[in-house]
Amino acid sequence: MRHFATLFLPLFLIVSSFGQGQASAAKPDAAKDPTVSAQIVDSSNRTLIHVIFDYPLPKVDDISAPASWVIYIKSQDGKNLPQIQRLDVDSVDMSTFTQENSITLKLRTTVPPNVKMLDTTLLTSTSIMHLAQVTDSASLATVASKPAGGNNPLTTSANRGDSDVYFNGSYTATEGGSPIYNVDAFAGYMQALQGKTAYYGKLGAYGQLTTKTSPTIDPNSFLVYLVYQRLISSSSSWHGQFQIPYFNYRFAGSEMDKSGAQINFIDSPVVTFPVRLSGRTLGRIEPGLTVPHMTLTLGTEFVDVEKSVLAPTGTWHTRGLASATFTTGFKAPKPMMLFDSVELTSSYQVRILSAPEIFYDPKFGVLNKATGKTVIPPMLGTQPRHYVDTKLSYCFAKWAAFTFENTYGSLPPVFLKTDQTFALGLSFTLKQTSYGRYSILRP
Amino acid sequence: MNHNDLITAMTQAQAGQAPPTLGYSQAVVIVCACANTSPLNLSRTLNDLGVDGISFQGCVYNSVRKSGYTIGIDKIPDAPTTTLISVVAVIQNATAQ
Repeated sequence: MRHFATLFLPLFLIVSSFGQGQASAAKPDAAKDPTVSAQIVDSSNRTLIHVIFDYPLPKVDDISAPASWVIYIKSQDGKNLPQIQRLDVDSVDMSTFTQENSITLKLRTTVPPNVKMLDTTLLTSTSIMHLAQVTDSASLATVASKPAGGNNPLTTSANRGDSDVYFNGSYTATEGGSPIYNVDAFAGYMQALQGKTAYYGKLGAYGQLTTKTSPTIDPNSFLVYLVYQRLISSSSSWHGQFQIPYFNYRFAGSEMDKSGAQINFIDSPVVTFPVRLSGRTLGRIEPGLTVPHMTLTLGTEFVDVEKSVLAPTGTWHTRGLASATFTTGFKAPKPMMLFDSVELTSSYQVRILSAPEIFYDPKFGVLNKATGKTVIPPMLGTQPRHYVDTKLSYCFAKWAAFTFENTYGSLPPVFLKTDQTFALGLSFTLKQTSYGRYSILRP
Repeated sequence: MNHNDLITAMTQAQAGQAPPTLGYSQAVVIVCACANTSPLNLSRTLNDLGVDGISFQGCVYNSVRKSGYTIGIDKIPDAPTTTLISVVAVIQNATAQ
């Protein structure tokens, strides 16, 4: 404990002072310049460019004059040299500014269909703002919509929650002891089954691996399955607090522990109901706020135990499955000392069994005097299998957070019961802004 | 007038003279209807607004089809970090059926 304090206290103080410096340095800029979140060429009228603002909003006088806008485009046909052209703004339509935080620039000429880049500068009485160049074909309205990654099936993602393929692993060899490893990985890909006039749902595959070193029973799991997904209704509206529910059918699935001692085949139809804790049409949401929302899932898992150290094999049985997730958060709209954001995520699931399944409960563990390790014997039972995971992240800077996680219960395939477990962690996400890293890597 | 009535009215107003692409205005109405939010939140993400991406994507796809246009459902962004305005940019290019 003393070592922990020795290590992290100075680090915490450095982090705190950096956070203060960053906050005070960020103030003047944040108060000045408005934020432009998008510029979009209207696909149905190419003389119009829609400019969408975010907070802080600009003053009306600063953006309402056509002369305030200087627009250049770069266009190219085939292998010809690119052409640079200035587009004059004829008028600025401010009618949607108060209702949509957006304005429309009406040009004297059309934006050509071979445009490759849009470059806009906003001149106000106090500043010259060079807006981010627009190069994506969707915003330039130059193609039948392509996804962000173009023709590539995969592109980079922002974080774990935003990814379809994720791997996080570590392995540490120790002299005279067992190696320490920790792997958390998943990969999934869904493809729409869609013709010119009909949509039949989506088909995909998913795999997940969670494994880490454990002094007792193997808590690890492998999960692979095919999945079919489709919305239950073709409605295009909400029903109170509910969005359209959707159906997921996992089939040809397999769940197994790391050693392969427990292997289950799974067939699982489930229905998911997304719920937002506000049924009304949302008004303006402050930047940084996450509106509380949850999902409710109901379904079954048809299980064929193929291999087990104790459970009967070769017969199918059923698990009733109910689960819920909850997410909310808040991010400081302005830089604050020792507070950037706070996020709460929680999930609960329960499986109700129609036949006995294996489980491991540490309270029945027996100490093996020869090895000095506790051995937990496998047991059979039909008791409901609960699992709760709650995580609270307090980010005292953009790149550093305290995390508090509480887990309880057990998960298939081996259902190792975890009593109330509280974990406190410190996480950092830093990115170097200079080229110092290359200096470090040089021999 | 709610979002869905507005979509219906815009579709009927264009009957017989629909432009070849969906266009910005109709795209904004569809996206805001499917996120159940005001256009003041076009810069917010699906996660900020408490919107489930799978349902949202299906809703946008259904609405585009009902408006007389077509788009690949996989081309409609649905990640938690997707902003509403980025969805508008994509679906405004949906072509007439």
